[in-house]
Amino acid sequence: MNLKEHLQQHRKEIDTQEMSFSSEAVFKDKLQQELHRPKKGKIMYLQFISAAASIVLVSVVFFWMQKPGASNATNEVLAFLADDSAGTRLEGVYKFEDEFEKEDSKIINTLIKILHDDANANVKIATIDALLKYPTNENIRISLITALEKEKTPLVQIKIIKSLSFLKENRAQKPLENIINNNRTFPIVKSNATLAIAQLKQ
Amino acid sequence: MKYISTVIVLAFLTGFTVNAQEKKIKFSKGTLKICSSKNFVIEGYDGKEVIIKSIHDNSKVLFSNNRNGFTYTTKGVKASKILKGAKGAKGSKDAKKYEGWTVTGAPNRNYTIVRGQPNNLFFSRTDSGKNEGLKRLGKKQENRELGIYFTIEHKNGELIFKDKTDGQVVMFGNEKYSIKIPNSIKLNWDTSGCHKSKNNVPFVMYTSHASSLSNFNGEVEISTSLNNLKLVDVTGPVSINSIGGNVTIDFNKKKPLKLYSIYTNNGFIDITMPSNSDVNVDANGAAIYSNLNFNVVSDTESDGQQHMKLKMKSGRVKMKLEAGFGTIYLRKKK
Repeated sequence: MNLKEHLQQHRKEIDTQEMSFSSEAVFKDKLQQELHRPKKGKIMYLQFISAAASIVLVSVVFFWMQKPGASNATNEVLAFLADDSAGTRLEGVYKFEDEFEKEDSKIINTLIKILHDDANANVKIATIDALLKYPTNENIRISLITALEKEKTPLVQIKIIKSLSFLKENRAQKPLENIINNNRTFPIVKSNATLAIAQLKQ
Repeated sequence: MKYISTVIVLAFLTGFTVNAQEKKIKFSKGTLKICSSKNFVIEGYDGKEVIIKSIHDNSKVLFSNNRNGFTYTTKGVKASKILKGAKGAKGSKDAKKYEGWTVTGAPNRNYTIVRGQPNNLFFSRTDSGKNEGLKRLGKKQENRELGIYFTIEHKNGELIFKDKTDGQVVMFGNEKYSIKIPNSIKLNWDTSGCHKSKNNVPFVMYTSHASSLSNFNGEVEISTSLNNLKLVDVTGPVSINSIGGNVTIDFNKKKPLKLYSIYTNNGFIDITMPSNSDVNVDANGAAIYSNLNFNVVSDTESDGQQHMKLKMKSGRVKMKLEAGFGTIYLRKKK
């Protein structure tokens, strides 16, 4: 007998307040059972909420990782750029140039380091092309001018000269003049520097 | 006349015998660094040794000169003839002193006169035929006996071949070497001599003959000024940079498998590959020619330069070709 049936059966005694002591004891027992019944529905509801939240969280992380320029892709390019093999470093530079749209400060800082220090001329030249995707970045412009002052490999010198001319970077005039006045500069580099100064003065 | 003919025949025979020998160096892991403007014919193979063979006539090697001096060469040449050819030396005290003498010194020695003054110029009357059948002793003499006139050094996992021309400039030479290298190593080849400051020497070092690399599967880095290069069946990754040298790449029996990156200022880039190559070509040059069935991804022109992105199959292997003022040829293998 459940609580409802117990109430119906003893309605008269309850209404007249003549409920027996034993009936009252049974009522208390039934009431206790009813009030402390395990709340299965509520637990299932909470579980559903948790599962949904987890799904949403996993989805957000997944889509965030898929986004170009986000940490996973960035880390992949950075790993390529740190490799001992020039071929792998080149793959990293080309990957960045082909697949990244937005500026990525970590990669750009690594590329600037490569521009100054890499031992392979192809890697440096490819790096300059990749950096030229962001012509308004002041850090890149300054780095190209500094690189021009230090660079000794003729083909890389020519690439930097053409880049600074393309950027219309007037601050490059002094290092360009130094290159022209250096009697150890390759003639073809001097020609490019002379042309660049003429273009900057236009 | 009879004497000269005998000397020439003997020199030829000596050279031939020496050239038949090879120098073998155990080296199957690491980088072979070639810092030399000499002419090399390099071939990859599945072995564990670097094998060097001189393929020039050892008796007729031309040697480097000081830029203020002159180059003299070969054994058996009359000293008077040399001194006659030396500007400023003709009629000098030394010209008279050495008249009638014959050059018999080691063929790799530089006979140089600087501004008309004898400097490091040696003649002797030694009979060159006396060492016939004998081998010069001493480890340092070994390479000379084999007709190898560059230094060989092994350090920090690198095997380094370097010109013996510190402080001097090689304008030309007729030295030629065949080198077999294991496919397991990396090749780093700089025809400007691996100078850290490349524009410290305002002269360009080059040989008029194209150096070549064939049948190699390892990584390749090549840097040249004016040397022409030919690569045959080199699968990559390859990076080449040159100011004015022409670069020819042939895939006869193989296809490009890894990255190719070629930059020249005004040399041409000429690539022949199978029509089923899986490549993605990014090409910039004064003009681009091809008979391959490329899918044209992009096609623009600016400042007299053509910029094209071309694809065959899925475009798995990247080819970055930048010829500057030079032309790019992309040919179908027949």
